[in-house]
Amino acid sequence: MYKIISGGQIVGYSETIVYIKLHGNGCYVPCAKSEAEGFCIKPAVEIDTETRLVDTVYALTDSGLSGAEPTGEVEEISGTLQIAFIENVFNTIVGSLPVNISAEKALLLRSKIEEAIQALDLPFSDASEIPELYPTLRQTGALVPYRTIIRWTDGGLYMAAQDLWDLESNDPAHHPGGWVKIKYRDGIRVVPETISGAEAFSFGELGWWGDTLYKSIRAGEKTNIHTPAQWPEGWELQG
Amino acid sequence: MIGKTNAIAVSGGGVELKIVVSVTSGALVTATKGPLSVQGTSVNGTATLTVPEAGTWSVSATLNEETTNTVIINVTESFPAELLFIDPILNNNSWETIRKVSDLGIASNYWSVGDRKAVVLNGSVGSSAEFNKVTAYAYIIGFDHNENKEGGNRIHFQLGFSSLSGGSNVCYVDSYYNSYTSIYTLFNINNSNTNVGGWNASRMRTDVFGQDKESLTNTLMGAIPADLRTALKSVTKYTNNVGKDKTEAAVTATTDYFFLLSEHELFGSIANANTYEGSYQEQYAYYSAGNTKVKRKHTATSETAIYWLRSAAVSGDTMFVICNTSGNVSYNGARTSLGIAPGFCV
Repeated sequence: MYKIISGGQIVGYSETIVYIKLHGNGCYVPCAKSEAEGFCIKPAVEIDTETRLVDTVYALTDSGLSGAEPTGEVEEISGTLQIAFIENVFNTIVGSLPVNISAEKALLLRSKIEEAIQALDLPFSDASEIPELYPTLRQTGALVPYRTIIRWTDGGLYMAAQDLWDLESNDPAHHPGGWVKIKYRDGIRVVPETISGAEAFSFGELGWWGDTLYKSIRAGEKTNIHTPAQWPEGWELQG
Repeated sequence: MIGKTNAIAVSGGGVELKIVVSVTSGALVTATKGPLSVQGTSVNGTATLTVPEAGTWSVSATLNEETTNTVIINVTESFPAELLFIDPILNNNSWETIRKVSDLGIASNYWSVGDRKAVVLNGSVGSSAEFNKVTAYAYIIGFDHNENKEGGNRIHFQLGFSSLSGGSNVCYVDSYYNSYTSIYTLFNINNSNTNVGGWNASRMRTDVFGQDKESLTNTLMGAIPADLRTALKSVTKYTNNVGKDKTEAAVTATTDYFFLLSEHELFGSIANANTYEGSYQEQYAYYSAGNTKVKRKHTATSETAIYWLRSAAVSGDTMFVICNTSGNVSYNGARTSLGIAPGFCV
């Protein structure tokens, strides 16, 4: 099994790999790894609600192949170990013994986990440890309530700064004013220059102000919207 | 130089004819031909006998009062040799030369997957497609593809491209594209929406393509040049030849001169066909290298086209698998006229 990395992220896995170069007439030709300009792999892709294995081409360098392909690198991994790892993660999450699970059941399980995390209203410091389990936008048109935390395509967590409809026009890329990106360092939030209502700190919550660590001492949950510079009385310097 | 010899040349002209025998060291080897007899002793497991003339010699050996079996060896003074000029540019070679190179199993030493060669199509194919000296460029999709099941020493081609370099990957359409009528022989799989009998029983296989070199009337076989027709090799293709059948027993062989690619041969995976087809087929090298599966109409290369694959869609008894205009797998009722991208072997 092969792990494919592009743009610094894992973009998929493939059972097969074919090393390729560009033919003079413009098509791709299989070749030895030593003379390859790129490779073709078969990651699982969702097409029309079904998962298919799709031939996908990556160039090994920016100048490889036609120049139009994304660049990628490949790492050979043990398929057996990968499956065992995934099963371990799954069993840990659901707290069960190994079971057979269908794709439909896994999706249902995933949606329940997402719902549960939203219902828990975890503090940001906890959220930073499990960003993968937060939901993402799916352009369903559904309501995204104020302060809902989502996972976005840049890998970051965003909080809705207002009630929003789940539409492309409202996502963080198209409507940045509707979202607040949650910034962390070592699991502790960075205090923004301007703290919006959605970002308000709770009593006892730590925050980085520059390289200095403070603790909010304003009473109540999500009440402190002033930085240590704006209102020093609301913060306690940490040693 | 192509050919084999069991003789070696010696100085002074002529040839010295030798029989080389593998036998236990110390054995006395005897070769006889009528009244003629030659003997020699095996050294280091080999006995080399120089015989005075060509012909059929009987060879046996003795050792410690035991005698071996007798082997009949035909010693010849002459042997065929053929010299071929092989152009590394595929298109510069005749189909006759390509066939000879294919016969020798050395085609991949000279040419590459993706190489193209012009084929002039001329004549009617079916009743609604007229090719008036249309130049198609056949391209290599694999060498000795799946040879254990389909046969070795074969170059697999597909039709076609619109030009020798660059251009569009096209499929061939008739005047009823994306519609149907039961009156004519269209580029459909069958004249009704049925997949019963699969590829083997389809009209496409016999009436449109023509599966013997004498079926020339309104067939693809008749529309290709005579030199290509002569060079064609049949190939064994495994397909679900039952229809709505998901069992392995449904996958059987046909012997074809022209074929449509199957779902697995194009995509390397199966979503709609009998999944056992994947056990008998391989994805073609051209497509596993990531080349586009999108094809365009040969009559209008600005337009993408849906084209047929030979796999029956097993979800029902009316559909065959297709590649849609996005290059993804889907299926369609068998009676609709769609694009065809025939494969063939030389």
